[in-house]
Amino acid sequence: MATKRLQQELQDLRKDPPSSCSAGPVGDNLFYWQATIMGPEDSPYAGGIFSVEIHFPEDYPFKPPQVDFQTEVYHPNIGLSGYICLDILKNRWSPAMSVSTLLLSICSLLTDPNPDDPLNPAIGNMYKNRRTLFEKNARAWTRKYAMG
Amino acid sequence: MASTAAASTSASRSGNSGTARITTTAATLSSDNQSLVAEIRKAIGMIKAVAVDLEKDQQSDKVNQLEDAVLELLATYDDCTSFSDAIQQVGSRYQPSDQVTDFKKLLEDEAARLKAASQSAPQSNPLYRQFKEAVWNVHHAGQPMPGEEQEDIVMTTTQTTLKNFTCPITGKPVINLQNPVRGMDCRHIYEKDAIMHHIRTKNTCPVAGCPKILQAGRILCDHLLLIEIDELRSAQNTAVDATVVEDFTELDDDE
Repeated sequence: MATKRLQQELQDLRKDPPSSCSAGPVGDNLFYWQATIMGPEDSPYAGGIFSVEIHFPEDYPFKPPQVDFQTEVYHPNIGLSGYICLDILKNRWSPAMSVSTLLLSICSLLTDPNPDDPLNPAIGNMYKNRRTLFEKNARAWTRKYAMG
Repeated sequence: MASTAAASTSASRSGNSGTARITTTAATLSSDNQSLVAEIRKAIGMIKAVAVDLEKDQQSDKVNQLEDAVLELLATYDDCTSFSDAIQQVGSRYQPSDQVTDFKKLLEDEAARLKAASQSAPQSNPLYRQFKEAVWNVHHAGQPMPGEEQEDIVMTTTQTTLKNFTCPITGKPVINLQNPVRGMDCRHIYEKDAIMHHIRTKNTCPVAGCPKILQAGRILCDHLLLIEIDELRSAQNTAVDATVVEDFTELDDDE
């Protein structure tokens, strides 16, 4: 079922791609995808191009994919290793979700971080208490790592 | 003392088995009735197709006769639906008592109550609207139907009672599902294997935001589902046909 579902998703993505991101399998391996997310305009990540890798489990879509940033991101909910702290990638996953909805959720997370459940408490604290400095750092990281 | 207890136990046991039998019978009767509802719906679809052909041949009087037949069938359709619901209600509410239960009266009263509560004329049934629209579109495609010129939103024949058009798990359009089933509580449609696999580990509906709990026994291919999917399929085929425009630009001028 996973293979058929992934083929269907790939077909849907090609037919109707989301505006701010793109995704597709690496080579012939349908269970390993590479995605690109454009930094949202209304965020300190604007202008950046962020690379994401997606590993699908054998029992996808009943289990969520593993999604990691390959580009370094200065964000309260994204670890230095690229791990993303997002509920829909864990306990709130539903088989009705897709790569498309997942990437849009990550875009949304870039625009609106969740500092109350930070993966990186120092950045979470800065986002809450020193927003200007947070945005300055996030922009600097975006320039350094996500702008070629 | 012991014999009294035994008697009451056996009475309650027979009462329970009676209730179970009534529930089972009600489910069977309701299912039979639903298949009749499905057949009526199928017949209305066939009448609509015939009416469209007659309208193409400018045989308006025969189309009017078919319209009357559709209204008659829709009245029966509503009666059957009310009766089916009444059977289920009576079956689920039945409590054994010392008096003989007059099921005929119970069913008639419940059906009458449900019918009074809905109070919808056959003319307001979406199936009637679809019939009228299909006939109207033969010669007036794209134009609003009489009486709707002022409406901002023009309803279309793609009206359907289906709640979702793709299976939330497989991502396939419902018209391509091999074994479509519907959750009786939330009315979402799924591929059978996929949803059965899903409820082994999680009992909630996979559609985002749907709060319903799924039970294996209440996920089934009800009588109307296949007909509704067929209607959707034919509606989509019609829409595709309507968008096919011949290209005459390649033809040479006669001059």
